[in-house]
Amino acid sequence: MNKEALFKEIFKSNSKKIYHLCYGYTGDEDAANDLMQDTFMKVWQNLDKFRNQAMISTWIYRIAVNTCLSWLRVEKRQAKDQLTDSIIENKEEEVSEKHDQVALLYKCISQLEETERIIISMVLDELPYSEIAEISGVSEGNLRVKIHRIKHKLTEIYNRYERF
Amino acid sequence: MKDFDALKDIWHGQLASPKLSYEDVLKGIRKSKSSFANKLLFESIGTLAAIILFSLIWFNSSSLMWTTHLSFLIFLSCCFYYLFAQLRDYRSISGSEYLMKQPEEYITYLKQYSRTRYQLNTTKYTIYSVFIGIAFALYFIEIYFSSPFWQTITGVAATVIWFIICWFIMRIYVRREQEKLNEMVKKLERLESQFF
Repeated sequence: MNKEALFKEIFKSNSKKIYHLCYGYTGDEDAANDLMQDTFMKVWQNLDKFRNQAMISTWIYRIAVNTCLSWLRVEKRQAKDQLTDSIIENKEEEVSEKHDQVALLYKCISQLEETERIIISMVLDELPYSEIAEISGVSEGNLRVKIHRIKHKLTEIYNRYERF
Repeated sequence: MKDFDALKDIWHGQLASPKLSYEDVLKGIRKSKSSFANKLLFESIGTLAAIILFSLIWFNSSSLMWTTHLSFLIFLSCCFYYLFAQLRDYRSISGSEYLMKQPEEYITYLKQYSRTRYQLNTTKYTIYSVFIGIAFALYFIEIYFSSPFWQTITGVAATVIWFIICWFIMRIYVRREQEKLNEMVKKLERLESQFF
């Protein structure tokens, strides 16, 4: 398989999950697209190293996580968060209930700490714990405790928002 | 009240999908590759042109004083150092070995990279400027003996003014870089602590 065909296949099977991870991390659609593009650009540059890897998705996730972590433009992010909030409020009546719930969920994820956002996005995408541990570099035992705590925190934030 | 499984259902019901296709990513790769190459090429050509110019003047001038030889040597060393530093920096940015390391190690690398970059833009730039200043001073010794006095004075005055302007600009730049570095290191340390 040539490089472009392989890349196309990898992109097709991983882009949505990577986008969700980036969206969960930034809470912003444009920034998520930028981070996803950065991630796949790096994947392309390192594709030859992946060819013989059994778990390509783990490496792609690792690159995505590191790309997200190096995204440090807080000022821009805060401005966009406010913008996202106002969009949510203004369009509340127009969009479907489902869309509202998803938007609220992303908003709640954005209230978590950075590593928590990354981990919970992978949990929501149903990645096995062993893979999340491999990607994040957190031991599996420690990860289980962390996940339990994050799940509880996220549910609490969501329900708090939903009440109002 | 929703439990975590309900949140999972919401997550899986989302229609949000990337705006990018794989063709867009490939287009982006080609574009960034060419802009990266252009920047590198532009800076390398500029520095190489300076190296050639200095070499030509140096080797084609007869009866130069030892101070002038030393000044050319310093000029050329500075040019080579700048070229080397730029190339090493670009290689470090595009290097992928850290990209695939575990996030905690990657954060350590980012911290180290930021500090190195800061050092290059501040301390090393100051040393570089001092050497360029010494090279100019040494060069003006020959000008003093071989040209009219007013030419030497004009040359020295122009160089001093140029250095003062650069010093003021650099002072502002260094302060901003310091603030940026502190902020970045603080954020990276906060991220690092989240892994424990």
